Amino acid sequence: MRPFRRFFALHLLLAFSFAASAVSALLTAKLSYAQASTQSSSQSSTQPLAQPSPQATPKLVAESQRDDPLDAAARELARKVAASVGAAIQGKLTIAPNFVNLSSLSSFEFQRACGAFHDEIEQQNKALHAASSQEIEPASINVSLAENLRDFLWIAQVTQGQSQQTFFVSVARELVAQENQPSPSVTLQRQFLLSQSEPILDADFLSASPNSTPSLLILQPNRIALFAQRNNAWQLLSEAPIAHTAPWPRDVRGRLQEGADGEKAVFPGVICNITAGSPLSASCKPGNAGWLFSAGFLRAFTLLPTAAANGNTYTFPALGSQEFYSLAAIAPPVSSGASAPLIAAMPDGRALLFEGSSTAVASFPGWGSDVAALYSATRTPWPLLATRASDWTAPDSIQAFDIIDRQPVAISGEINFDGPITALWSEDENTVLAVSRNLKTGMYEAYFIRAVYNQ
Amino acid sequence: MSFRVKMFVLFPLVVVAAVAIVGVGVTVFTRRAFERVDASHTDAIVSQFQREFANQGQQIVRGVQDISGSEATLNMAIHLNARDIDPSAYGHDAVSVASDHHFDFLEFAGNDGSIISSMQWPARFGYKEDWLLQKTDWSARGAFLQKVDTPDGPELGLIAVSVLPVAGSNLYTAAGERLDKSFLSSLSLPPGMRALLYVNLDANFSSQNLSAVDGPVAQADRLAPLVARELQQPGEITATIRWTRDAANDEVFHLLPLLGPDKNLLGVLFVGSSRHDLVLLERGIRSLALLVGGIALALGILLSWWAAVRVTRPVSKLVAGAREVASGNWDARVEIHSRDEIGALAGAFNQMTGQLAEQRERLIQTERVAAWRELARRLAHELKNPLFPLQITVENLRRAREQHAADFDEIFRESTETLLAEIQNLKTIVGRFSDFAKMPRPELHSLDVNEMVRGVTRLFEPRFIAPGEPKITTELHLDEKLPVIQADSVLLHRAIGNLVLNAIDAMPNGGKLTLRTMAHDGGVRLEISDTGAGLTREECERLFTPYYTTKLHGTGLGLAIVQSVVSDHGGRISVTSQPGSGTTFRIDLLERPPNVTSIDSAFVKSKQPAEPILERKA
Amino acid sequence: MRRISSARFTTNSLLFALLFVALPASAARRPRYGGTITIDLQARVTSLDPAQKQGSVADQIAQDRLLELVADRLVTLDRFGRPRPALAVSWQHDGKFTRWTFRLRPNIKFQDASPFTPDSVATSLQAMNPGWRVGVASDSVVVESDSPLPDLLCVLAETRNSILLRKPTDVIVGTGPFRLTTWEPGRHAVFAANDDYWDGRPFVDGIDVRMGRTIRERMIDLDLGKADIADVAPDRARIDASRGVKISTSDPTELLALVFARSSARAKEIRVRQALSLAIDRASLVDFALQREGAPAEALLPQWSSGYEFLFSTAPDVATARQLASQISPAHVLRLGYDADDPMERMIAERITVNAQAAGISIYARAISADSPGGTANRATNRAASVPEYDARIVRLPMSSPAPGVALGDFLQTVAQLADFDPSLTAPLNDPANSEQLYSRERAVVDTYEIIPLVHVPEVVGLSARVRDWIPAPWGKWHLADIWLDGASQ
Repeated sequence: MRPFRRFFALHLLLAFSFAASAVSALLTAKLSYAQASTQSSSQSSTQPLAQPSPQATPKLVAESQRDDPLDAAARELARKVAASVGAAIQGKLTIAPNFVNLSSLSSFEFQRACGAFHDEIEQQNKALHAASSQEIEPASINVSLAENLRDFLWIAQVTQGQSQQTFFVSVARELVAQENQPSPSVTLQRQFLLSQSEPILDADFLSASPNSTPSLLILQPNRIALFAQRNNAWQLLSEAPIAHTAPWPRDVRGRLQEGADGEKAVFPGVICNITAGSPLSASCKPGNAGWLFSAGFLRAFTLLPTAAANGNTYTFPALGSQEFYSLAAIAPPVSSGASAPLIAAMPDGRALLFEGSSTAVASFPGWGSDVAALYSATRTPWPLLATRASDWTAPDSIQAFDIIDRQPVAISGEINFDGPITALWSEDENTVLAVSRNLKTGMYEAYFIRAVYNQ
Repeated sequence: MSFRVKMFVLFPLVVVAAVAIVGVGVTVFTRRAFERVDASHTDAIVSQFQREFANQGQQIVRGVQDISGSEATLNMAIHLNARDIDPSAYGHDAVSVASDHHFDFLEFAGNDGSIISSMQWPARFGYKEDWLLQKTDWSARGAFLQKVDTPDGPELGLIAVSVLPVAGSNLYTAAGERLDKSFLSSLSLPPGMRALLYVNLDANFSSQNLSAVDGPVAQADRLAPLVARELQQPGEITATIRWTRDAANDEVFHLLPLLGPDKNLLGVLFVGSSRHDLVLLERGIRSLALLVGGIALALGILLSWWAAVRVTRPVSKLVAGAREVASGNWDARVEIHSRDEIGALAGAFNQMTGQLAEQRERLIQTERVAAWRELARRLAHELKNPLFPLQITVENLRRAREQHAADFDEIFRESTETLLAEIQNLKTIVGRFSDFAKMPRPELHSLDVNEMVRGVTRLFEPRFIAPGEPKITTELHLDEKLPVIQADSVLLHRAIGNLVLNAIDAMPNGGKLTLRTMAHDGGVRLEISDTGAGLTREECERLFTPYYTTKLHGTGLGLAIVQSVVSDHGGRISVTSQPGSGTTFRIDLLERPPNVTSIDSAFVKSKQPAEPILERKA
Repeated sequence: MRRISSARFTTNSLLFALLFVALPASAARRPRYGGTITIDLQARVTSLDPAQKQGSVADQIAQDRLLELVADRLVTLDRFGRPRPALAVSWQHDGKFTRWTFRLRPNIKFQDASPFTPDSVATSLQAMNPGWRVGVASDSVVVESDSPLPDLLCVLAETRNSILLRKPTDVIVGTGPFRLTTWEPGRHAVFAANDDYWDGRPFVDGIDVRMGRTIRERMIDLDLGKADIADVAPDRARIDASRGVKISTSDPTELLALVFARSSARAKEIRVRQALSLAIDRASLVDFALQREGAPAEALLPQWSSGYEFLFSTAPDVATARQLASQISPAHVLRLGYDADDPMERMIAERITVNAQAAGISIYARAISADSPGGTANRATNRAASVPEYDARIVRLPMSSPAPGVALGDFLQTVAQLADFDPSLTAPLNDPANSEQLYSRERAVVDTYEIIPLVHVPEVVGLSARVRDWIPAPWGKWHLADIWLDGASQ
């Protein structure tokens, strides 16, 4: 025990002395105001921070807009980590950082800064690759964003075999543009598609050539219909029956999703290949395919749970044997191989948050049984759409949430519907299909929901 | 051992034995009685304890059920059922609830047995009380003994458990009271008895765990073996503890094991009854017995002494009288005037001595007459022998003068020679008689008997070898370790000479003379044996009678002289003989003759038979 | 573990937010002047002079609270612990932090109308800091030291560095918002608003402080409105809140730690200390002894102050503790001392005993009477020389400053007098504001196991319904000049 501790302490001291110089260098070079924040320096002696001059504030803002100090600090931390790990070894380095936000900053800013760390570490990594190609023991890195009274602290704990090193980079609190509104709030826009008396399980635009009119596939329990837009109205072109031997579950769900071999309709225990020519045809056969709970456009990241026996719940390997109604990812995995944070609507009425393990880290009561993310290739985290908790006798509404410190924060107002939501599927980028059964008319109405970010 | 001593010892012995038997008997009886009383008291206390125990148990059960059934406990149970609840909010409840219900111990435990609130050890919050989870119908079990952990170490409690099931999960309420010396104070103990409680909480016996009502117990370690026995095999034990050398401090303990739910020994109730009163009573009895015994002994000694004196004084008078008679005082009388057997015996004795004196008187007179006759006869005989030739010679002389004048001168000369010879013979006879009469008293001085014997034989040596004399050989067997004795050598020399002469006379045809000396009985024995014709029994009996002889010549005074010399020396002479096989004289002489001073009287007395002669000679 | 501490932080800030919002909601208007605040304290402050140490930690804290009413410091700290001008309007230092110059605020008078001069400041500071050379230069005060003083601003913001005049009558005269009018040591103190206070007259006219009040008296007074502010034992906070008392909880301001006595032969073996540390379940200490008003102490400094406390993992590991304990032969029986007069220490000591025994460590808790060596933390510092009757004792270490560097320095100074510390561990840091240096120092200290952090305890205060604008600093500092009394509820 003792010798190891001595070695460890020595190692830490070395690392810290290096880190300390790096930090001061960083702070003097990039963040000159950091000094002013810790104690008033000689040139600002007659101008204590108690009453900052009117010019000072915009300067800070301007600085912070130019280069977010949190990201800068994260990059600095990445460099320190790579430098020490790289110095310790000659060869290829595999780094799988694990990020934890212990600060009062929103996960939005946190995720962004994590991205910065990730980019930086990857660049450093490449440099190391160039140096050598020898494979070495991978280092596990825990990156935490913590805070004390004055500063935000980036802390990296690098564990490589027996040795562990800890690196700090601190950012003065006042330098971080801290907003109580954690992420830019959004406005949800609802686009009506069509309504019909038949239940609508899913709908999808067929990718068509630019000049041709857009056509829409509507999936119903017993048939699939192809609509084309004529005079701003959807007109039925053709339809094909869904052949199934066993009766559907009472709460039947279906999903249109694009597979490698063209468009597919997935039912509990039945898979139909759809040929969208004229006439439209659907060749169905028994089978269990994965249901696409992510958006088709995200090739790199898909969620494909499988339907349970009862037909309206699903299971997903990452969640063990737990059954859920619906599943959504709120952010992409921070690195390849890592798992994305997931929200699942459970049969007991709670929505559970999973962070890379099958054990929920948080549970949100009061949500409905349908959640879907407004997936985006460019913007994270992905806003989460959730229905309200009620049964199908009551009108429903949809609201967008952000998960901050594992707590749901509403980032939009509610969109009310005249009836319950019967289907909620993530479709295209920033697009979710919502099907509601209008309690007044009894018609099933399909909408596309999109988020407009207020910036 | 004399009769007096026998009586003197026997009587007190009997008295003491009797007192001892009574004392022991009373002691044993008392002890049994005491033990019976003790046993009954002990049983009473044990049953009282068990009653008290049961009552307390019922109270505890009621109290615990009250707590478990209270609104507050129900709220706690419901609240604890809610999801993500924090039980620490109830951490302090047990203390207040316990003080309300006057419990020493109180714990609330959740469905998994983990402590929600503990009065006796609040710090054990969250730890599990696994024993609560055992499959037991707590309500049916009632109160039971249980080891209760507290910060100050385990304690013994009388505990009851109540279970409050809410929505399938239980809230356990375990409460009770401390079982310690205060519990003992509820017992009412008769004087001389005490109750101790040992709580078996440590692996080994600890004196701290043993307490009496009034605090710790002195020398508690002495009771450790009893506890060990209980640990090996729980059961009721009775044992006596000796606290000090003084048996009065002994205490009899009755042990009642206090067992836990799974029959493990959690405590022991000691009911001790002091043997003090018993031992004091026993001692009283013993000392009384000793006192009575002592007095009886003293009285016994006095009585027995008095009785012994009373009974034995006449007897000893008789003995003295008998001794006087034995020493020749034939006139001895015993002065006893009682009318009992002893008196009769004394009378008979006096009568006997009287008769003996008369008979002796008579005997002496007859003997004196006989002696005179014998003397006259002997004298006549001795004197007649020379007188006859005198007469003849004188007649011859007269005749010769008348008839044979010529030859008268010749005849006259011959006749006067014969006359002179016979007169000389008469002179000799008379000389002998006067010698016997003039027997001197012995003058004692140290004498080597062997030397004297050799002297005598040397004196007779020429005669043994003289020609014409019978051939006699001598043999001397002399013990060289002879003591030197006090004696008169002249008299003894003469006496032994006489005996040797007798022996020679007894062997006219020669033979063997044997002289033998030996130490005998502190003195000297001298034996002189011949191989002569021997003597008959009558001859032996009459041998020492004066003037008795078996020889043709002789006055018969020789052996009488020998006997008088020997008796003058306080010795004894005896003769053994068989006709035809010789005779042996045996002389036993003391080293120092008894009462030398009274040798006169002894001499006189011993010479009484010859007295008339001496007197006559004088 | 780390989640709890961060949750702690958020809940506290939420609580403040709630107080912020809740109070004006009930009386949504601008502050009104007048009224007298009555404060019930359990502590008995015998003197306001910081030079005179108080009997117990609680008394010490109370002394600070009261002294803050009377006297100001050159520098004060804002709610983020950043230095702000107070009696000094500006300051300069040289590159090595060995020479600091403070320009004093003009036109200030002491409460007895005597002028506020650099000399008085120098005297006041020099008295409390013999290690410094405090001089005067025109309207400035110069603080010099051979060793660098990078954290001087935070040090000067400590209450003990209040600028005050010591009167022969043991009366303290300062420049603060209130002036002392009545002083009965250990029993009663009355303060009147300082109408000429340089930072504006306080809203209330006066403050009536009653000391040595029992828990019961304090609660009754709060309920009946006879007291406006009363300190509350953390483990009572939840109960009192459930009875409708308004409770204000600060961030953890005090560290309860286990310190091994230097003289203890039984604790010489590091495995003994390590085993004990591994055996202790700190979370349950907080649940039980503090009734969740506090946080498990994973390091000496709380997360809110250092920001890296979560790096110290102190999850109980009974198996390892048992293994370590089994290696020690013969098994030592440790004596764990706690202050006889402090129920919380007693509770914690007993809980530690239970934890330790569960891990096979033989230990027993014993009360340390006030007159025994190291009866209290302060006595511990005074009487460290005498041989204590314990192997380890529970020590209450109040945070002297929100600045982690200063607080850690003061912790180590106190503990070093009790425990067997390598001098290098108490040497001043080059840059106390540098988290890496702080972390490495704290890690080194914690790894000696000479001191075992137990819990971080907040300061809990009960408030009457009429108290408004109660906005204490996260580390417990009261701003009594800012609060006002709602006449409506009088």
